[in-house]
Amino acid sequence: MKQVLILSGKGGTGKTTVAGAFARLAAPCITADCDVDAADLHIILSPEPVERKSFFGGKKAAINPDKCTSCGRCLEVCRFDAVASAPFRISETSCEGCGVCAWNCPAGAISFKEVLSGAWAISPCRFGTFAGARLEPAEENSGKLVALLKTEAVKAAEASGKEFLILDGSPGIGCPVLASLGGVDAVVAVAEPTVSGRHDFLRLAELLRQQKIKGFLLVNKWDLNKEETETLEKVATGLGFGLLGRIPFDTWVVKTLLDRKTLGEDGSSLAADAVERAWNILRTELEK
Amino acid sequence: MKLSIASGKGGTGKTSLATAMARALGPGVALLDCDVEEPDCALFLKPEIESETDFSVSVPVIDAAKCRAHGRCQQVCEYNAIKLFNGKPFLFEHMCHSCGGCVLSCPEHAITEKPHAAGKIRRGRSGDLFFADGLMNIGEPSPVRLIKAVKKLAPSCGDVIIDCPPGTSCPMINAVTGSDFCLLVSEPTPFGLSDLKLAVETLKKIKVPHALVINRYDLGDGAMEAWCAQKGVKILLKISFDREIAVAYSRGKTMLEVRPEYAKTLKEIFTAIKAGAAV
Repeated sequence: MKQVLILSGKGGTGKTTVAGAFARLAAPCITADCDVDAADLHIILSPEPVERKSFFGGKKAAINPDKCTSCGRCLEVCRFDAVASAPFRISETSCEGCGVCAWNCPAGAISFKEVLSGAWAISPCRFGTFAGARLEPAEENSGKLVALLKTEAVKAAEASGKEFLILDGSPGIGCPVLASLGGVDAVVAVAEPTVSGRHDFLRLAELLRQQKIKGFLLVNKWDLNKEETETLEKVATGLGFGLLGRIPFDTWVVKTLLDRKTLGEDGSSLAADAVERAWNILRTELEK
Repeated sequence: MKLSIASGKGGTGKTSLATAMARALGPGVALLDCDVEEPDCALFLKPEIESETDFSVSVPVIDAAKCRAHGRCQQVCEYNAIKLFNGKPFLFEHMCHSCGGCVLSCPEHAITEKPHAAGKIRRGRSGDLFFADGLMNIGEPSPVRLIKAVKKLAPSCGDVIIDCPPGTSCPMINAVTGSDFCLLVSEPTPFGLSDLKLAVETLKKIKVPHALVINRYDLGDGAMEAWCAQKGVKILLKISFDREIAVAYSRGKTMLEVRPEYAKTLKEIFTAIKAGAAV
């Protein structure tokens, strides 16, 4: 089984659109949405509704006002600016769940309990199986939820003997991205030919170099800036990336999305054809 | 006033709006780029950097000679960053959240801390704007501390624009927290709407007033506007897709450089928000 992860560094470059099309082209396969923070892939894959499993991502501290002696020790030891005084209380959204306040409260007034921070499910979809999760808004530990979802998706792929696991990643290069990288065979970096697209691609490329993961570049909306597209491809080649081609700017992409379909599912278009060529190149590379 | 610019979904135009807004407002305004995983404002504002400082977090150092393998550190660490193997403590530095719990817990006082470089903070000026951004080191797991450090650079007076990271979890929340108002930018597609709903839910939870700018509004459908009408989310501006803006953006130009007429609109929006007329 081969794991293909779609990343970008910069947000909104077309990761989910590419992941959806790859899921269709690789069908039957397992697809997992590792962007648990702002998950969107289910919108175009329409997995069958199944019962979701709860995700307890970590613990949160809370002060019992009846036991609190207002000594201020919690405020002193908290490094996350999560404690407010008069009366002493803990901000749920700032608390990082380290438990230091609870361990150090001389009055034993701080409880430290697991909190429900999301849900996940594995369900059938028209291209095979879909693994999706949702982090509650304003909750933490997206990395842990991504790691859990990936473990479950890999198990499902191995149990069913699927050839490909297609993973839609998060923007950025922080904890959810790091959690999605384990065991990946190839990362497809979807980049736009813009100065910020190149800047963010280079940061992602450096992360892949550190983690020793093979990367492939797919330029989206390449015709918005031809010189920048050439620069991106040159830089990527120099960094050992494979090239998967160029997707043109094509308003048909939005139309397909509005119809809740994956790119190419409603017929051929310039962008759909480019993504299909990219998949064929990648597949050949992975079979080498 | 502190105005944060966020989105939920990435790539909807946060940086474009933040840089254009800062330029439109002119003298005395500060722009803080808090998308420290991928900070891009500098590419558009091209600031003169006056200072660049290292940003560090603390990580534990265990004195093996003092350690008597009580295992307290392992017990209190919520992040599994310290484990005892055969009576010896091992530190997994990349798992550490720098909470300092192990230092306080060790009965032998065998744990101290050392700085660990996690990123850089830059400060400078772009014309008459104050500029600051953070650049997280590649491979670091959490941008949160660096985001907080960049936010502390806001000048004590004058208006502040904060460019936020995408998503709705810790990085976005930490960037937005403390703002007087959050301007959301989205695009009217099913992806944009799905993430907008999460972003609005998050902002309600952390009690930050907000309104919406719809970008590329002619490339989607009417579902976002209908949802906003139903939920009482005010739409302050609709920007149509403009190839010239997209091409200028690709070359590192703010939208005002090709569409200067937006300066007046953005100023008016900011004034309305400040006057409390935008909720």
